[in-house]
Formats: sequence, structure tokens, C-alpha cells
Amino acid sequence: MDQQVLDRLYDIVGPDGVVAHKSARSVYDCDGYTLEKAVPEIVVLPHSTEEVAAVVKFLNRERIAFVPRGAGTGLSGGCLPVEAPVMIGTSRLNKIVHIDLLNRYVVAQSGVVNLWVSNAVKEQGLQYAPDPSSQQACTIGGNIAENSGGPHTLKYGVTTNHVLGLEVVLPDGEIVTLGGTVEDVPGYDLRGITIGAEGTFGIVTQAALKLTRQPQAYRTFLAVFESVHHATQTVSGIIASGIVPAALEMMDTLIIQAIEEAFHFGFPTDAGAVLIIEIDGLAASLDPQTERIQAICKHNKAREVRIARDDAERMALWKSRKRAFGAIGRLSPNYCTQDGVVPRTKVPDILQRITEVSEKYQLRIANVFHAGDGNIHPILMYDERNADETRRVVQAGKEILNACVDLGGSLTGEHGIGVEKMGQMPLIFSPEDLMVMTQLRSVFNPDNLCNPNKIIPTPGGCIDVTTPRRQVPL
Amino acid sequence: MTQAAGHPPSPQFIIDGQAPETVVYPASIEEVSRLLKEANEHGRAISPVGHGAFLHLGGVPKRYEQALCMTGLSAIVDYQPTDMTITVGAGMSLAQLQAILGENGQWLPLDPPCLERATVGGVIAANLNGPTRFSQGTVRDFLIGIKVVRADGTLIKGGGQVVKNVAGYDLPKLYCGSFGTLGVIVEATFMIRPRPEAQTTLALTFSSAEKAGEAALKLTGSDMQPFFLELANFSPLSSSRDQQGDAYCLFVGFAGMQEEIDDQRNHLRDVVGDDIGSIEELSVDEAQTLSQALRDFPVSGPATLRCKVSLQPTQLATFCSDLAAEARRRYAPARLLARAGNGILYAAFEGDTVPDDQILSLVDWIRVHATGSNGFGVVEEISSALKERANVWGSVGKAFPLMQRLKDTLDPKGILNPGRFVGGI
Repeated sequence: MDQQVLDRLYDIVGPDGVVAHKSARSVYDCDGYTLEKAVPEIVVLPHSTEEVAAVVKFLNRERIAFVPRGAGTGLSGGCLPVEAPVMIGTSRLNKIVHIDLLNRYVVAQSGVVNLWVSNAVKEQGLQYAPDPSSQQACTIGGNIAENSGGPHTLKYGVTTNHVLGLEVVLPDGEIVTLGGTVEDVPGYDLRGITIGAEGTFGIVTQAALKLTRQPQAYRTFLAVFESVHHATQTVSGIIASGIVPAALEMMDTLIIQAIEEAFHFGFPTDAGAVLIIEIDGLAASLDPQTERIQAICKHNKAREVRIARDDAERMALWKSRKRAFGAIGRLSPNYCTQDGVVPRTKVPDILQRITEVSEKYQLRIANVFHAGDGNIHPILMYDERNADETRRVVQAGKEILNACVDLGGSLTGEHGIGVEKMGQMPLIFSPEDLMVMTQLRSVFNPDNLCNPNKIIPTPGGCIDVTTPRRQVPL
Repeated sequence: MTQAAGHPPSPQFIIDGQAPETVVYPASIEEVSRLLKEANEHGRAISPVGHGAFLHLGGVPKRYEQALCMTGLSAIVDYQPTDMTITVGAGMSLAQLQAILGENGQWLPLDPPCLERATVGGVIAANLNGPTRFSQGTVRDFLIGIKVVRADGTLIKGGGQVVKNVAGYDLPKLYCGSFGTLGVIVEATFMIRPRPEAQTTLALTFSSAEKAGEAALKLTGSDMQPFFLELANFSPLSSSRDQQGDAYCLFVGFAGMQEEIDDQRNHLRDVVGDDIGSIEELSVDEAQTLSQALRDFPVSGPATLRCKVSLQPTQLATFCSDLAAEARRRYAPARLLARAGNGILYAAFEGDTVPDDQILSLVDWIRVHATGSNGFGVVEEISSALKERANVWGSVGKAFPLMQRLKDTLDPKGILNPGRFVGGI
């Protein structure tokens, strides 16, 4: 990188705000999507919105592309620097700026970790509802970029349903507020279109987040089934009964075994599938719902329905679920997680297709997913030292997503398109749809300097990853 | 499908006294597409219209040559009760939609004014909602897919048919509240919910706005989960429209399973405390009358001026009593209804003889006091002659250049509802 550019960046953010050494930068070569890697030429870690704005203004003037990054827990390569030499990390923007308990909102900088928000208001009986499985590490800015979900979105909605307003540094360095701290703000909902734009509309530096009351009571069930089929029937039964569970998660044999080995919760390792069903709300409503849920499970031949005895057991159950991906490390050196969505009633069909794909490509695939909203997370296991297996993983992943689209679904429920699924966008969007998205991006990011080469495939130049492009030796 | 020339258009299509030269009635997406393409080529200003129930909203049209009546696009495109999703044409009325969903014990959790005359497209474009937004949310929380015809006639879509989806930019959000200025909404997919099994409403009275506001905050700060929570300086149930001094009412709805309703009703008094005039559970008939009145309030009864103010919930009560006093000083009695948990206030001012400058000074008062605390005041109804001076949408600040660029990108010739949205967009 040009020394003058480096000097200017040092001037803006100070020596402790620049990561220049090769070995230190290599940490930033990928997010949770590890099939592709690229080391940024420099990483800057601004300390304030003003520093972000100054860095961006300078890069815009120099026509140097940049990519924003939170904690790097994304799963689609959203912060992979592709032809973007400068990475702007938000880790120093880590302050909760303002808490308003009575009006139930928090203003937090974008580098604040998701869980810190809930922890800051826990004592007062409030919470920030979106709870991605990586919530102990992932940042608010990253959640906003990806419009992240989590197990409890079935009842509470995803990130966009809980954001009142954003402070954004636009790709030309201007600082704007989109939305606000009150509910109805006149004008176009630019906050709504910026959430989920995967960092291509600018860099979010601060956000006003809605707080939700903690439920008065929870009840968490572990229902054990001989087969995936019976578990999915139960999911449909619960949804059809008019109950809106807080969460409805499924895990298959392979993942149950991995989790049990890792966390010793007491999962039945011989079960075909288990469901974690959680209801919450007023204590008075839980007994009647419990009866209904137990009856539906029984009707669908549940072998056993356990209820978490206390909060400690509930937390242990959720800890196991949320760390499921980590437990896969015991089964395989590498894995790739897909994030397709199907209409809820098509879950049995997609699971059947996943089994077929697993056989066809000779890959082990574990399933742990948000069954209640049809958001699947097949985990494809491989060893990156085996080039042929790596290639098969990429192919198998695509085939699963194609099947989701065939069933009326989508390529991604909560992980984003990133670089990973760009090539498949034409499966669900027409050239006209993609054109309008390109135009929308140009409204915010006219020179495409902010997080280029993401989401929208370049017309004609179909991006087709069959092998990792920029694998960097570590 | 075009209304014969020479016939005066029905009042359904009049906007601020302006009648369109033609009214067209497309019956399919293809026809909408063809009509827009044609209008765009000729630079003809066009306004999408449903049943015309909300045409008083927004600025005076800069030009208005053609009304595009959308009520012909009212089909169910796809309804999967077990997936809890429905796709319908944008011209379907909310009443019709709720009736279809009701057959399966489901509903779209939105209760905007004029259910019979509010269309799906209108609800999205004008971001219409009602009392249950407190517990359920607004249209952006339920709209998961959208089809739109762009100004040049191109059909585009965003989102999809599934309840969780982050593929591509979130176009459905962009069209919520876009006021028909970025394209014509032709089809919408919603996620839906089971209809609550039971419901009840309680009416509480207080001797002041502050006491009512205090009670509302105690409720939102408790474990209770009201279905709706409305604060008013009048009661739609009493025959007299005149306010009883400074008395305020709080209407609290509970919905769900009978067990949770009973539990909350029994604990309501403990939560709100003793500083209360009366507390009464409404009969089924009264509750129905009330809920319709609360829903329709933003468009019902005569008013010289109507405003919607967005504030922090904690600011509502003081704002209400100060505003009521300001209105009294101007001989423009105010009826105030607030979505107490959301910080949204609807204010309707009567008094046909109030001079224009007094009306405008009320608007100013509202703006100054709302924006002073990061809120917003929008004029929803005022005589067309005063609209420009009142600047109905108010200022949107530094984000405006982005909005203008967005408009110029999606509607470069400015044919869609010109002049009716923020900053004259």
C-alpha cells in the first residue's frame, strides 16, 4: 500500500488504530465462511464516528475501496476484502451510549457485542430480542448489516424489527441519521433498506435499538423422536394449533451425538431427531399451552418429552444448541453451513433432498435448524486438505440451495448472500430485480467503493466458485 | 378500462380539489405495466388510488393527470394457512383480507382505519396501522414479499414467500410508507398470525393526562402484555363529545388465551395503582364500538386540522395537556388519542371559524415541541390552501438528499404522485 495513504490513515486514527503488520492482518482474512480468504492490505480501527467519517472521506477522495467488519462471525463472506484494500473494523466503537428504560430503547455503537445490550438491561427486566447463536461475539453493526436472526425470531422477529434508527457514515464520508429514536419518522424508510444491505450502503456507526420486556415465564421442552419425519410433523402440528412458540428448533442424530459428546447435556444419542420447543409469556398462559404441545408431540409418536426443570437446565439446553456449530469440530476438521429457507410445511421435503445430496456427494451432513420458520442449517463436513472433497462441498451446498428455491424458498434466511451465494441470486431474482438492486446501491454507494463485489452478481461475469479463489496460506 | 372522456370522475379520485383527466382501471399486473410505460413515455402524472379513503394525506399534487384505480387487482394469489403466509393483489381491501384469513382462525395483525376502504397497497404505501401496533407491530413487520411496477413499467419484486429471508436488499421495507412515489405496488405477501382466542377491553379514567400517562408507563413497565393501550382526552363511548374538564381515559385491551386475559385483568389495578378515577370492563358490544372508534379516529368526524405526532412514550402526557391548552387558547378544541406505548399521538382540532394563522401557529407549536425532543409532527388533514404553508410532512433533515436521489433513480421523470411526499418529492 502507498506510503502516503498509510501515513494519512495513521494521522486520522493514530498508531493504535492501524493494523499494518502482515501477521496481524492475516487474522482478518475471512469470517465464519472459510472457503475463501483474502488478507486486507491494511486494517484501521477508528475510535469514533468522526474518525470513521474522516477515513471514509479520505478513501473516497483517493478512490480506494474499503470493507467494514464487525467481529467477523458472518457466515457468507460479507466482510471478505475482495478488491478492497482497506478494512475498517468497528471493534473500538464499543460503547453503549444511552439507555432509556422507560421508553425502552438503547443507543449503542456498532462495535458493541449483541449480548452486552441484553446484559446492560437484564437487571431491569428488559432484553434486546434478536439472539443470533454467535451473540457472545457478534456485533450490533454486523447484525444490522446481515439483518441477523436467531432461534427466538420465530416469535420476536429479526434485527430489522428491533432497530429504530441508524447513524451511518455514507461511502462519501457524510454522516447521516436514518430513522430516529421515535417510532414513526417521515420520509422513505432508509433505515429499513440499509438493514440487511450487508455493509454495501455505508458503515453503521451507531444504532437505536428497541428493548423488549423479558417474558414473565418460560417453558422449554426437549422432545425426542425416532425419526426426523415425526419431528417435522410435530412442528407443523404446533404451528397449526395456533400456538406461536418463542423458538422451535430441530437437531438430527449426527448433531445430537456431536453436542452430547461436547456438552454432556443428556441428549439421547440414539434418537432420530429432537426438538427444542420454547414457549414464553405470562405464566398463566403456559400451562394450557404445555398441555397442547405435549398432546401434539404424543400424537406424533414422541418417545419422550422432557421439560427443563429450572432456569439452569434451560440455559444449559440453549448453550448446547447455540454451540452446536462448535461441536462439529469433533467430527470434522472443516465444515460449511448453509442457510436456505423453505415454506414451513416443506421442511420434510428439503430434509429428504439433503439426504439425497449427502449420498450423491459422499459427504456427511448434519442438520440443526430453526424448524419453526423453515430456516435450515445443514452443516457440510469436509477436510480442506482434500481438494476433491472441498469441491464436492461447494457443489452440494449449491444443490441444497437450488432445492430450497425449487420448493418456493430462499437462498438465505439470516446469514446473507455475501460472496458465497452471489452466483445464485439469478435463481430467485430476475435481471430487472437485480437491476433495481444495483440502482439502489448506487443511490448510497455510487462508486461502489464500500464493500464491493458482494450480493449482486456482475452482469455477464457470472461468479461461479468451484474451488476457493484466494486461499491464503496461514 | 379507461373511463370515457367527458364524465366527471367520482369523488373517490379527487385529490386536494384536483380531478384527474382520466381514470384507468387495470385488471392485471400486465395492464398496470402497460399503463405506466405509456404514462412514463408521455410524462403523464399518475396517482395510484384504491377506494380513495386516505387521499387527504400528503401534499398538494404538482400535477395529476391520471388516476390508476387499483381495486381490480384484488385476487388471492396464494394462501397457505399451514405456512402462515398469504399473497394477494394490492387492490384487495383489508376487510376482505381479514375475512379470508378469519375462516382459518388467522389474521394479518393490522387494524388501520376504514377496513372496508383501506386496500393492501394503500396500507403499505401510507404505512397505515391502528391500536394493536403496540403488541403486533406495523405493516413493515409483516410484509415479506412485494411486487411493484416501476415508473417505466418494469415489474420488479423483493423478498419472497418465506417468513425469514435476507436474500438481496429489503425492498418490502422500502415501499412501506413510500406513498406511491417509488412505484405502483401490485402484489404483497404477508406473514400472518393466529387470531387471538379471546379478547377483553377495560376503560380507566383519570383526573389528568399526567396521571393517565403515569398509569400507561406502569403498564408498559410491568409483565403485562396489553394487546393495545390507548390514551384519550375523550371517550368514544360517551354521547357527549365535549371533554369533561381535564379527564383522560386509558383503554387497555387484553387478548390471547382466556387464562392470560383473566390473569391480567385481575392484576390490572395492582399495576396501575390507586390514583385512578374509575375502572370498568366493557361489554362485548361496547368493546366492539370502542375498538372501531379507536381504529377510525385518525379519519373520522369533522376537523379543521389533524396531526400525527411521534414522540417518546414518556413525553406524551405532558405534550397532550400542553397541546390541549394551546388549542383551547385558539378556540380550536382538540380531541387527542395516543397509542400510549408507541408514543404516537393523533390530534384532531375542531372549530370551523378558527383563522388560518391560528391553525398554522398550532402546527408550528406542535413541530417546535415535537422536534425539540427528537420527535416529528405530520399534518394529516388541513385545507388544501394551507398545505404548502403548513409543510405537511415537516423536515426530514440530512437524509433528504438520499431520498431525492432515490426518487430520481426510480422515477426519473417524476410521474408518480408528484409533489405529494416529503420535501415536494
